Amino acid sequence: MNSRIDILKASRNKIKLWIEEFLENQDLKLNKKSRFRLKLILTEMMGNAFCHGNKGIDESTIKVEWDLNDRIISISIKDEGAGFDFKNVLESELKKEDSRGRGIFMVKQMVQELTFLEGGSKVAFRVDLDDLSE
Amino acid sequence: MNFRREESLMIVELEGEIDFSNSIEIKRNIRGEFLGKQKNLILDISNVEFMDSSGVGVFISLLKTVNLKEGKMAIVNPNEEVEFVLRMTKVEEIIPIYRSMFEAKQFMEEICHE
Repeated sequence: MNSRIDILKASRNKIKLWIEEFLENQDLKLNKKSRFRLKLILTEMMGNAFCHGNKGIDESTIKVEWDLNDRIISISIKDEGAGFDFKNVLESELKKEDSRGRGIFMVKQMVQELTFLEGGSKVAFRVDLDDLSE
Repeated sequence: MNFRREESLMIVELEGEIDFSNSIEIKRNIRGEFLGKQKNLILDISNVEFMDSSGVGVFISLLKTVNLKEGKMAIVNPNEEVEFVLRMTKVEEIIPIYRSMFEAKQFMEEICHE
């Protein structure tokens, strides 16, 4: 069992650094493919938290909680925003020529479970690390 | 980021990571260079190591600019995982992806001679 709570005073660079450090955790036992895909999931969700939830404001707070149990990692990300209409986003289909709305669509395909909480200002998901390699 | 111009074609060589931290700047830079008689665009992403949906958004946005100029756009040589992103987001259905610059240029020439 491996778990942690991190509170970031976020900026774009700090988020990228946090993700790189997170992926270096040897307990995750990532290969090239699963590393790319976990990085993609984290970049999408933390990018959303910072850019949309926290409106891109430097030093705004993002709280990340995670635990690794066997090969399943559970992660939650909480931003400072007021939330959003997540039901609409979760149910909508991908519009090929729309330049937005692809992040959550992609994440949905890579995680076991994706739940928005607290009006959408918190997202929780579970990832089977072995599935990411397939 | 490198730019090359060949008549109506502009080739952009991208590298590193394209994500929420730099996508707006990348889009702005390419749009700023894609002027005048250039109407066809090839994005060489051989050296792009990572891309998220913001990067995909840049490509779709550039496609709209190319369409307004009645030009054509192609993507060249994504790595396996970047191609996974392009496939999952169905970009490959609206922007052709080629393994080599030669193939992409052939596609551009075919269009020009139609």
